[in-house]
Amino acid sequence: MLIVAYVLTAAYSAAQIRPSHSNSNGTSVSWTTDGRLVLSTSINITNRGWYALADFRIETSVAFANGTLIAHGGAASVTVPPGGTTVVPIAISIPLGLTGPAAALLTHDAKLPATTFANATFAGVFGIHLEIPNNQSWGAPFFGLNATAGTPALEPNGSVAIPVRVMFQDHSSIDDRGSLLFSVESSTGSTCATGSFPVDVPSKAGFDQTQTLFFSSSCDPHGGTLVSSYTTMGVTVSLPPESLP
Amino acid sequence: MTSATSGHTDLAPTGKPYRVPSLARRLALGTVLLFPFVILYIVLPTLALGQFSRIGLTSPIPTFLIVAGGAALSILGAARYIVKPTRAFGPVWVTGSLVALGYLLLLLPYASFSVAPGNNATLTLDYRMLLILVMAIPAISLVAGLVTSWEDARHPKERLPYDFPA
Repeated sequence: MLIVAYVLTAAYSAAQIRPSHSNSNGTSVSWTTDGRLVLSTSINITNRGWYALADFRIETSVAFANGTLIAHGGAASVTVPPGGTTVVPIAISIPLGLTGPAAALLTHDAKLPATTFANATFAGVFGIHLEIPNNQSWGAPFFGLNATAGTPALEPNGSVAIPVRVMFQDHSSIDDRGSLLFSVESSTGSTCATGSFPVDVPSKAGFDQTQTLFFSSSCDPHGGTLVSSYTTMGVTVSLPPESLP
Repeated sequence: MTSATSGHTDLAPTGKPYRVPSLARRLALGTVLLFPFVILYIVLPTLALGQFSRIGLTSPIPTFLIVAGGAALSILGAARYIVKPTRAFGPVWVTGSLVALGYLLLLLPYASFSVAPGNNATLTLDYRMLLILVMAIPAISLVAGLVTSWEDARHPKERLPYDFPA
C-alpha cells in the first residue's frame, strides 16, 4: 500500500509541473567569434508538486519547416524544488556560414519550428520527460540583400565609373554595426573592383547606400556578381552572392 | 492417521498436533477471499486510472490487461489458501509468483503517465524503474514457494502444525 500511495502522490505531483517560456524581452542575440549567432532565452519551470525535479536537463532543437535541423542548444542541469520555480537559461548557437543549412537565414525571415526536450529524475525512481514545441520567429539581419549596378560613365583616364547600390533591412533584434566588404565580379568570374561600406544599422532599420566604383573598360559588372562579407567585432560572416542585373 | 482435509486434530511426523479446516470450509473462505483480491487487483487500479484521467493524467495500460492479470492473481491467491494444507500449496505459490512476475513484465512497456501541462507541452512520468524494483517481491516469493515445495516433498506435513496449530 505504501508503494501504491507513493505512485499516486508522484503521479499527482507530476501533473502539477508547469513549464512556460519567458517573455520576448528575455531573448537576446549575439555574435560569436566564429560567425555564429547565439540566441539566449530561458524557460520557467514551476513545480507545484511534492517532490523535487532533480538533474533537470533541457535541450532545444531548431529546424526549418521541412525538418532540416539548423541548431541544437541546451542548458546545464538544475534542480527544481517542490513548490518552487526555476528559470532555466538556454543558449542556441546558429551557424550562419554559407556552407551550412542556415545560410538562408542571413537574408530571409523564417518561422522556425523549435522543440524543447527535458529529462529529469522525479521522486527518486521516476523519470520525467517534457516536450515543448513552439515556433521561433526569425528576423534576418540582412533581409532582402540586393545589389544593383547603375549607368556606367566613361572617365577621362579611360576607366569606367559605375555606381553600385547595396540595400537590405535589419529584421533581427541586434544592430548591424561593422563593415560590409564587397567585390564586384564580372560574368566571367574576374574581379572588377572592390569596395566597402561602413554599416551602422539599428535593429529594424534599413540600409541603402551607393558607392561609385571604377572599372577598367574590359570589365563589365552587368550580369556579374557582388560578393560580400560582413565584419563586426572581430567576426566575419560571408553573405550570399547577389547577381548584378 | 486422519486425512488433512477432514477437520480433525492430527499429529505431524514431529509429534506436534495440528488441526486443518475442512475442505468445504476452505472452499467457502477461499471464495470469500476472492472479493478483496478482486478489489485490490482489478477494481482499485481501474478506479485509480479513471480518477487520474479526470485530472488529465492518461495511462496507456490496456484495461483488459488489468482485468486479466488481476483475475489471474485473485484466483491464484484464493487457490493458495484452499490448498494450503496439501502438497499443492508450494506449486500454487510458485505459479502465483510467476504470474505476478509476468504481469509486471507485461506492464513495463505501458509504465508511464502523460499529461498536457499547458503551452502545447507534453509531460510523461515514467515509472518503469519502480516496477522493476517491485518485481523483487514476487521474485522473493517465487524462491519461498520453491523452498516450500521442496520441503513438502522431503518432509510431508511437517509445516502443518505451524500453519494450522491445534
